[in-house]
Amino acid sequence: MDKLKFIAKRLLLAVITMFLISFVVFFVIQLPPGDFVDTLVTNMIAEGEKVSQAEIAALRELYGVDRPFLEQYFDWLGGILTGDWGTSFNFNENVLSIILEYLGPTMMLSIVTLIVQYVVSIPIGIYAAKHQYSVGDYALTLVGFIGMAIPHFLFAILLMYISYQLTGTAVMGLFPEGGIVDFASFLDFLKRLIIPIIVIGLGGTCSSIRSTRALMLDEQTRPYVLCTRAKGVKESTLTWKYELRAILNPTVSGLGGIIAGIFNGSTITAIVLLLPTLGPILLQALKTQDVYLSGGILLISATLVVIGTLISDLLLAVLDPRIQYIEETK
Amino acid sequence: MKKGKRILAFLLTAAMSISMLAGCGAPTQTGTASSAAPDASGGESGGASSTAEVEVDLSQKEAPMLAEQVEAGELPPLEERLPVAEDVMVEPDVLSLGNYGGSITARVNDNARWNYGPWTEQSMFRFKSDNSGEVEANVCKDFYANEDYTVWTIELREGMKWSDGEPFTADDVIFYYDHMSTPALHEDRTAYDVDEEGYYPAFTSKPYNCYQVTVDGENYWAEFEKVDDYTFTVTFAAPKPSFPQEVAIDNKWMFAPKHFYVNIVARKDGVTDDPTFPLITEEEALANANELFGKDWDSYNTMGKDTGYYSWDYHIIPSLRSFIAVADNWNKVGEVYELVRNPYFFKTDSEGRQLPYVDSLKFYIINEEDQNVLKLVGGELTIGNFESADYSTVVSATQETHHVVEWNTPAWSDTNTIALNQTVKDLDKRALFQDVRFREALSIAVDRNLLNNTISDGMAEAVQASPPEGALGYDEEWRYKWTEYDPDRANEILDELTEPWDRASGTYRKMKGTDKDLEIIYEYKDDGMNTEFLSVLKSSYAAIGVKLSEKINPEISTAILANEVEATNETVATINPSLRPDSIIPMRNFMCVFSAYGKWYEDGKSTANGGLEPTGDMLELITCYENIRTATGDDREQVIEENINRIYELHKENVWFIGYLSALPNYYLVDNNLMNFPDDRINADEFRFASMMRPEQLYFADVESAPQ
Repeated sequence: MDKLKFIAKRLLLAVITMFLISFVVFFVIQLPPGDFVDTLVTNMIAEGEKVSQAEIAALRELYGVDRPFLEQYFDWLGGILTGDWGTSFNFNENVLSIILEYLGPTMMLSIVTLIVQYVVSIPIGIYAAKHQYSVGDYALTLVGFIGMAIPHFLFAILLMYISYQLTGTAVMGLFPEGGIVDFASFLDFLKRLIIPIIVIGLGGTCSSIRSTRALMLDEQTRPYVLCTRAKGVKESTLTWKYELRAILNPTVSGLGGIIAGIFNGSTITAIVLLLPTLGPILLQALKTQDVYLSGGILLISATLVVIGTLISDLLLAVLDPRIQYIEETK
Repeated sequence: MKKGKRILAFLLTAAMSISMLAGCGAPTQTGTASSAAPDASGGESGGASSTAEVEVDLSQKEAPMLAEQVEAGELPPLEERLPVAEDVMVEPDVLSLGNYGGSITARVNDNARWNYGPWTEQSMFRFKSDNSGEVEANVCKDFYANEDYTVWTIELREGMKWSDGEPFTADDVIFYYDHMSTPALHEDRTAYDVDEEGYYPAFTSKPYNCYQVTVDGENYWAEFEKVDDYTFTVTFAAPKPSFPQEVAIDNKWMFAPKHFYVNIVARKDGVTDDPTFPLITEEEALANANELFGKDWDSYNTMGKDTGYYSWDYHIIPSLRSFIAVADNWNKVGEVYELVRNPYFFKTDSEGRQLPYVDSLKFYIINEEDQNVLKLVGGELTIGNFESADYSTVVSATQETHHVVEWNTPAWSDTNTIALNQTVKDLDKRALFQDVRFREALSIAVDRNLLNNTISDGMAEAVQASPPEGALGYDEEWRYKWTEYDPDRANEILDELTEPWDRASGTYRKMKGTDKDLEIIYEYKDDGMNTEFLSVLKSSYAAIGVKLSEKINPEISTAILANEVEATNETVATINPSLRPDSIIPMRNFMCVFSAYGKWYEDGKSTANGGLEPTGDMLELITCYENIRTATGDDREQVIEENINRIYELHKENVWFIGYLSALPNYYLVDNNLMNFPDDRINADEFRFASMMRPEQLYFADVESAPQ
């Protein structure tokens, strides 16, 4: 029962957060001077078209950008709730269908990166902690700091250069020309996946190595560890069965943040590597003031962050009995 | 002049890459491919830098990929796909006969309909490739006018077909004109006013000037009449001698597949019993279009403009183009936008072999210039474009496989200019901006050589904004007018125009009779502005007591329309003011220089909506323009010539556009395996840019090693 209450409470908080986010998102994307009609008029004039003040006013009315802010916002929000996310001015397509088209590759990339990140960072972090001040630990520390410090896009360019030197072509894009149709093109796709995953996952992996190492070191001196070890339990059992569970809490609670990082932080990387993800679409939409598209994408990414946080909260409740205890005693 | 520039560019390149052989990779227009491509014979034909002695299988009359489809019964035989024998267009611009096969790879960005469009564009009339400025028949077979140029007769090609196999006839032209290109018209063929009852815009939203003539200040739309399936006439209320040229620049195509558009064009003329064009409402048309195209257009007008005007964006619309898209993924960054040969294309080479030679055009959708450079350096593009800053990087990396071809532009200068609004709202500033001596001071205050080395690696030339050598209106005196760096003289000039100035640093001149700093607010749209140019300009102006403030304005286009911009970087690139006058004549208000003057003319010489009546030389520009428009008699050519000369003279005297450096040519990086790439063309909008390559006649010397 208490668990249900806890979940309900979290869900309610998530909904309220979402509502606030949607307002802020819509407010922020309206902030820059000008609107989509300005972009449109600029293009029309560049094409040698005649545009009069009256026509501009008519365009403003057509696209509804001349209405008061709140009216536009609630219209938009109402549409979101009923499944009509508006029409992208740039694409003349339903915003939701554009987002869904790019959400697939974005999610795929994020999830694979996330998995790789945990699979790589946790064992390394544990190794470093168990062999503190060894050569391996120092080497990994160095790599970790470099990885945390290096900007994504710069690393992407470096890897592209290396791939260019090795293969003669700079790997760009995620899907091979013509899409994935057979095994060979699937292999090509996997090859193309390597650089983006390394680049996007690097920062997260390295910081995760650092935090796993630190947490693990803390555990080493805990009485229960000393006691267990004294009782003659195998070191590997101690590590993987007892200590690991203890350090998972902070690692999992960072899930929401990590998802956000992967989702948003990869925009520049995606531009550099020509990835078909939402990042570049969002950037373009923001630049051309395609409000419904940029609003939609920002909302989706915010939703994912909120969901990520929610999941990590719920996971923690399962993984760590202490959380439940704290909730109960509140 | 050109030679000097080339030598400079060559020296630069040579210095950068020691291994380069003289005359091999130099950025000149000739002698590049001949030494780089082993089987190329050099530019014998004069027009091409790469024609080759390639063994061509003349027995192949069509591409193998099409022959296979004919074999399989999926496609009618060649004779049925081409126009009747005597109406087939034998492309005169085929530089040498070629083989079928291979794909041309190139790069465009994700908003590039005007870049990839010209590659496949087929207009009714087109400009000749000899840069003469004359037009010739392209889609049509022939065209001629009556004696006073009021009636033009245009003959089409019998048996010509759309890319879906449907016949192309006069009906397609008349449908396009009557139902897609014209707005609501009165009985007398004048257009309804926007606020008049019954008004509707053209389906394409484009009221083309080429179909209108002005009589006593009223614009009358031409009338199209069908003579037979392959002949129609265009009748004007007054003589229209330059009709074909104007169409080639203004509208270009002048036809649309009626059988397709009847589903998405609402019938406005009230006719209900035409089985070939049943009456549908705007709502029905919009719903049809949204279903057909899988789109979500909000309004009939937006849909009309997208599908009617930007028709080449949508592969499901049948076309006459040389290559047809297979998907509409031109806005998806990272993907390849592919256009394959049109099996019904109406042109052959001199041996009766159907064009195009290559199987397809593949455009990589890439936005970032750096990624483009990576592609170029990797040798991945058959035809690439690059900026002058990347010249040495690109050329030294690809000297074994590619060569550079330069196409000159008719631009008066590079984009780093200053154009002062002659109708600026502040009256003190207006007096200054209109004073030709003030413009002289701004011109000579800048050290052009310093600027050249700073922003163009010394590859440009120190000039005034004026028609470049070889272009109509070129005048050596004008080209170098006020180009000598002389800040002392500039100060002397300004001393007469402003309050006395003690030249203390950090202070500026006060405008005559005021306590206001002499400040020019220079506005620009963020992207593409050269900030180094701005800093040179700022410090140069500061040295003569003129304060230049910059303002990034994303809405600059609309601000100019409202006469709210003082100065910006405007450039002129027109091949002929009689054909494309709006950038040098105050007839519209989209140019900052003309702002309220243009508004005045556009509003029918009225000051009611913020227009301002021009005087003096500005007014004379308009007089000259009107003389050109109304010239019809026997002395027409002479009148036009005189007035064009006068227009240039007025510009030369006034220097309304202050330029500092010459425009750099357009650089193409061309694969040595690609043949027939012409090197003597001009990169101009009027000539439709890439269209001048005649991409349908490009081919690969070695098809096996070409991109497939």
